[in-house]
Amino acid sequence: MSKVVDLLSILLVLGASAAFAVGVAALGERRDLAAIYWLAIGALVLRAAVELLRPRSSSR
Amino acid sequence: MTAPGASPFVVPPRLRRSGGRPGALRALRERANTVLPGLYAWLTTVALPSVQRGAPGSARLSAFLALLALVAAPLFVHERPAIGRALGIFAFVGCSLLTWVLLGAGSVQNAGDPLLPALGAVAFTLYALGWGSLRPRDVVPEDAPNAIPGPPLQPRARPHPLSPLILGVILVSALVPVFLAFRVVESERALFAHAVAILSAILTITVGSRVALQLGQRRAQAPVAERLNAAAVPLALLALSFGLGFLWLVVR
Repeated sequence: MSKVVDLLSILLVLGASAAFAVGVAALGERRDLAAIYWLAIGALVLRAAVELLRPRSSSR
Repeated sequence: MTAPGASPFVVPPRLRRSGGRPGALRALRERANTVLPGLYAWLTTVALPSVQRGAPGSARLSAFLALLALVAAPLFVHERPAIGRALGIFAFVGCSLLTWVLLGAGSVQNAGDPLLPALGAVAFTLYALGWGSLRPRDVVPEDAPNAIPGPPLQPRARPHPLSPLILGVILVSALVPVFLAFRVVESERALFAHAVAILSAILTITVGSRVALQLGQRRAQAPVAERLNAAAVPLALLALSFGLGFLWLVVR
């Protein structure tokens, strides 16, 4: 199960960079709302990856 | 990277490859990791715009001075490191900046071929990294007089065999927005796109390197249930955002 969570966190980081890439591309195509949406999605995905990696409640 | 003139590695004279002053060719060869990216960066971002028709003579002169500073810097690195760094960092970058100012935005921006300035920017990054202090090949840090003696410290855990590969994939994916930002044409929008791309690349590489290095380190990780519970809130927000995005696509 731990390996699945590790794999999920890797996929989330890759997904975050993909979302950032789509956001920057949308910025270039003058689609500002879509750019903000995808950048926010990227930030959320990255936050999820961080939480999966090391939860804030964990004292380790 | 260290401050100009300072180096974290103290190389005792007995450990240096030779006590004599290195020749010009040898000095250039030893600093090839700095000179070659610098030469490419100069060629693509300074020399090419300054040889265009209509470029002012002062810009050509400062471009030539930048090249001189770039080539002369390695000759002083061993004997006079402060002068070498002043030439390589301040004089080269300063003359390049002066060339761009003298040329003006219209001549510097290569709208016809945005890939070349992008590669030049990468070369400037490699040039900056090259000026960091690296340990010479034949110098053992433990032999330095200021090293603390004692048994070598053993690593607590070995990285997973797949960690370097995963880290490489994450690094490449993090650089995609940086390259996409060069496709933005409008100047104000391009500036914002570059800022966003660099910030996203830093965040992705920071998190990605932690993910890759923590792979398989069971002792350092919290229980799976705790990890999933902690990620539940951002994942739920993510699902909500996707739902809202889908709704927006349908309604529009």
